Amino acid sequence: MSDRYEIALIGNPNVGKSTLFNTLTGENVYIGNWPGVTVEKKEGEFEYNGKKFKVVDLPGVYSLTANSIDEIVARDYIINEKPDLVVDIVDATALERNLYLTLQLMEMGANILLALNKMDLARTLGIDIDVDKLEKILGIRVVPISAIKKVGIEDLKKAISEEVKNKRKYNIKYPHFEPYIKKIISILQKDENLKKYNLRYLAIKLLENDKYVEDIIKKSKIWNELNPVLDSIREELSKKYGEADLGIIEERYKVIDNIVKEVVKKKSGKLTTTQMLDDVLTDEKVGILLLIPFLWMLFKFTFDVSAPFSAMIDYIFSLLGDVIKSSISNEFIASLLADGIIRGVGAVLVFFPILAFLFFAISFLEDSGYMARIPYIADRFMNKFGLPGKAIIPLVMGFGCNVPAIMATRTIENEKDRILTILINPLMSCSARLPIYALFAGAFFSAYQGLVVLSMYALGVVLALIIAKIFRKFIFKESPSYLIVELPPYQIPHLKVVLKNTWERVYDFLKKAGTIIVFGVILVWLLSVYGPSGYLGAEALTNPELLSNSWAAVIGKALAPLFAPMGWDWKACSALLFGVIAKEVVVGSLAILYGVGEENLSNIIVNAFTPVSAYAFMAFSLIYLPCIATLGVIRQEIGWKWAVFALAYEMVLAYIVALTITIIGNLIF
Amino acid sequence: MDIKDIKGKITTLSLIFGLLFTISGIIEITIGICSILGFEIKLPLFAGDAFGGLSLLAIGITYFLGVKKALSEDIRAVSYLFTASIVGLGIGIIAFLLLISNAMGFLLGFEDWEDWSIFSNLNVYLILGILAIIPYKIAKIIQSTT
Amino acid sequence: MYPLAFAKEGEEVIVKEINAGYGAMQRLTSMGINIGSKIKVVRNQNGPVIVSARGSNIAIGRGLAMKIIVERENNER
Ligand SMILES: Nc1nc2c(ncn2[C@@H]2O[C@H](COP(=O)(O)OP(=O)(O)OP(=O)(O)O)[C@@H](O)[C@H]2O)c(=O)[nH]1
Ligand SMILES: [Mg+2]
Repeated sequence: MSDRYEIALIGNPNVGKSTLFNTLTGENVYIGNWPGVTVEKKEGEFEYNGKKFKVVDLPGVYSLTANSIDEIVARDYIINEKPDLVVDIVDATALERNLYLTLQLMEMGANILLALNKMDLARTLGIDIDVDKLEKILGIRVVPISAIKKVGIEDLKKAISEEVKNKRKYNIKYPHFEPYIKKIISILQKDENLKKYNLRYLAIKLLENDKYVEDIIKKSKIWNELNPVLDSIREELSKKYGEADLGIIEERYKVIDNIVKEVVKKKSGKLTTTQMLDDVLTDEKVGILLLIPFLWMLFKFTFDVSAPFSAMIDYIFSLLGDVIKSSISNEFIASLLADGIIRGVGAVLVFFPILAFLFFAISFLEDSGYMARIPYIADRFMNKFGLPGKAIIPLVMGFGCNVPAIMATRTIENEKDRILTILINPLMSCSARLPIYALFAGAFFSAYQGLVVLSMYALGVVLALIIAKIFRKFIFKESPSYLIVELPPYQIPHLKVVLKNTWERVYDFLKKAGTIIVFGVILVWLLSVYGPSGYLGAEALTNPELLSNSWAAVIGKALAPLFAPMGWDWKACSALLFGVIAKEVVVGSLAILYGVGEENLSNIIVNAFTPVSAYAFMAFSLIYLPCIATLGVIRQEIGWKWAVFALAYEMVLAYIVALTITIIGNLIF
Repeated sequence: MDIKDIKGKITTLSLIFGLLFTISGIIEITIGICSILGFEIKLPLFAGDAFGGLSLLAIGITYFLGVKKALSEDIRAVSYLFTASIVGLGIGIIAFLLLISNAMGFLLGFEDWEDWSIFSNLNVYLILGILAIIPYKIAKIIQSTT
Repeated sequence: MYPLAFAKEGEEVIVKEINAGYGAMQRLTSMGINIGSKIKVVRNQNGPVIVSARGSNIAIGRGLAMKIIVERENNER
């Protein structure tokens, strides 16, 4: 394994680890200007001078004392996997805070290289860092870079290839603590099993009351000997610092203060753009007032600017269907292609531009830094419903897709807060449900289309808040944990980053359209042309009498009595069932079952539904069942029990809401 | 720079733009509400989008809050001028993108754009949005002198 | 000495006590808010408090800000 090395990228949140990862490896992981973008470890590779380097991108951490899942992922990796080199990425504009983690990494005895990122920004802010001096004081290699501008990357690669072999010895001493550290190490040495750890690190962590390390030591045979010694040291420290663990922290910051005094020169700042924007945007009242224009822009961009592209796709697909029907003579295959795949997938892809524009808008907000302010703005409001302020980010991301949104809850430290946030997430209307609303709103409420679609989103949010409040009261009986979050500077979004991020999500959608959705519509088509009596022929799709003998009809009719109060016919019922595969399939199935392409679909459903039953159908589609992928990720994150619970409560809720809409709607109209 | 020296400039600028956005916003909201109630009012430059009108109004109010800060000689008046202008500019950019995209739909000859004309997109959003460049630039200049 | 939640916007204060649990305490200190550090109150309305500490802005929930005891800086001199 001489020429293969593993290196890890670690650093505070939002310092540009993923940006550097992408630059080094040519991968395309998600980047955003808010802390907590990366929540699981990502791997990639690059070559330099014939050597191969495996690179691991980790979630950001402020220290090695982990609280939340994403931090635990990073800490466990560093402690257990022992990479050949740890590249500690440090934000040059916040060196003082970033060095805290650096010191901890040095305590661990990891082989470290310091990458001083965002040098471009530091320069604009008038921050001057003496790199050579920093290198000398710390005793580790320091490379200034700008990951986004790709400056210094070659130097960094060179430094990496040199440092992987170079196991440096460095020494950060904590003058007031050395006697205690020595004493503890002398006891730890007696256990052979602990030799695989860095003893100095264990000793310091014990002085810091770190639960994780304490649990490791408790299993050791020396615990009985160590425990009384530790107690007496802690008592001594408590007298001096108030709290034993505060001592070592204070000591680290003293060391940092000295370093910073030596190497950083800062021109006294003028009013920064971030200050100006935050004066207004974080103001309680104006901040909320200005949400109105932001939302307006979001909606106009997503729905109206994207419109001609949708029209284009619609046109192409209907053309394609006609061409296939007239050129393929085998009736079975022609129908499968034209009536099944093209019509079904086409009905979904028409909405593809809307999704792409929505993803672009969300990425834009993320990279601007505005997204990072939302937990702050929302904290007080969210607390009223038993949710922590940080829950807002997964909820907003849920408008895109619930799967990454549920992953994003990993930044929430408290387990109960996290479960609650996950449980309500499927109520945030993801983009897969948008085609359903767009279809029905266009057909029934064309004058107020936007408003009706908006009302679905609002319904989802309101229900999520109510459910959160109820669950908090009856299941998780403690109040949500406190907000502690960093507000990064605003920046003009990097178009390249936004486009890459958008493409990443668009690509996922296209992949889904090409696999799951195609599979779904083929299934629906097959179930429509076959029945208990055998093959019915492709005419089934144009002949209602034939179709009513198909499997799809059998299934739909079995469900229909349940939904009779809402007035949905069996076709709607079976479409809902197929929607479990992926919610886009609902529209695809409707298109197949009503036997028409997307364009005329709205004309036909006008006859099959009333405005009230259509609205109830939209609401039901919003709430019932999370799709299979979402259920899968809920299970992965918090277990089967909660996944089943989410499924059950959503079914019940969907039924109640749809019924209520029907009853009230019929009373009014 | 001391706030006293620029107080007059900031106040006038914020006041002018506050009035422009607020008045346009109110007219737009009125037309929008009327059309929901069933009276169609046609006014050149106005689209009758109540939500959009509300957005213009929100920006107008932000400018006015800047006026208040300037009068009490608070340097944060610049921040209000700056932020309101950035949001205004954002609205202008969206309006411009809409114009481009509608023109595209028209040129490709799609049904929904049959009776589109360029005048339906030359509206207050576009005009105010473009005008917001002026206070934005001025706020930037003031920033660089602080 | 008074809780951070009572500090005025623009005030510079020194942290004297943090009476929070282990997790919140670790989080605060690793972000640069430890006992003895000087922080500037950037925003304090009814929601979370925003402070500037060691060059970055950090929002702290109001409940937690009640548990951080601070002292006005010039009292020290
Ligand atoms: N000015 C400047 N900005 C940068 C640079 N590198 C990254 N950024 C920006 O910093 C922000 C954070 O970048 P990410 O790569 O997502 O940061 P991360 O460290 O992976 O963050 P987490 O995954 O949340 O821990 C993005 O908005 C980037 O555009 C740089 O060299 N200069
Ligand atoms: Mg990342």
